[in-house]
Amino acid sequence: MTDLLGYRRDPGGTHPPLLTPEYASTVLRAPHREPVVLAHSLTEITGPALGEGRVLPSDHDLTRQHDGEPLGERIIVHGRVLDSDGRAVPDTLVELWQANSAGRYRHQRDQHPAPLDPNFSGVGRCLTDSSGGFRFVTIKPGAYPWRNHENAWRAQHLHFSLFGRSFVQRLVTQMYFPGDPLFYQDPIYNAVPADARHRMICAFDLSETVPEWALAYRFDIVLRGRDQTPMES
Amino acid sequence: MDLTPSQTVGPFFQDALSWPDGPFVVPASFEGAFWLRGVVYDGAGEVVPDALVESWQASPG
Repeated sequence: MTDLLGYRRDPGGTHPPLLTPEYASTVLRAPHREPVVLAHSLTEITGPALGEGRVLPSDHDLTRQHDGEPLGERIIVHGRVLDSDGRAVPDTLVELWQANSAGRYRHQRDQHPAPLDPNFSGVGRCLTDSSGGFRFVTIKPGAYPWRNHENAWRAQHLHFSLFGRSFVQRLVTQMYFPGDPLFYQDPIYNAVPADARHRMICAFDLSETVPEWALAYRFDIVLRGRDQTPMES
Repeated sequence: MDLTPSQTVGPFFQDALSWPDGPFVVPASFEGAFWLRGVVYDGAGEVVPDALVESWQASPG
């Protein structure tokens, strides 16, 4: 018999409710019944192994995936992936996707009449280093309209996906930029309880800027931490 | 430390989160391999054409 450490439940006030009527897509896609809370077993406290060679060292740089450079304001986005006890989460997959500088995704269902950029795919990946650190080079995404409500615009954002070290650390989130004037009318941003919204906003980081080349922003990401008491298996 | 909130995966994730071997946990020729198929519906009974489904399981044996 092995003692296994599970993961602490997310405290209330962290995530958006699954049903957020202001974000219209949730109305038919949220469960009608309360979720059933399950005990963590080996399935929940382990996660998929990525395998060697799936992420290339160059995958973190979204400005060098084509013959030319993408248009837009070049930025560095870096940070650390930590758990809620402040422990680094090393060797974990961080995936990033985003609109181009005109606010257009390279996706067949994005019909926003803004130009595509032949030099920008908008997808990057990296693995965190031994201290949980990650670093992307990209361009600042544009704001774009969507049809959620009258004259709706998404605040500028980067999408992030993280696997963590176990399936219950899985997180999909979005990173926003400081002082965006569109926050007040973005129901996806505002679906998060007010006291937690600031955790999704990166910080301008002068120390990581590269003079005469790129500005930099810091975005630390915090995943669930371990339970204090072992469970029996 | 306070947890980072989750946000919707949004409609335009396919190029980022889909891997070329995505639906294949094992090669199709793997002994005992089988397909697991289903349809995702929304609350109105309409199919959801852009749902992300992730599976995770132990290796055999």
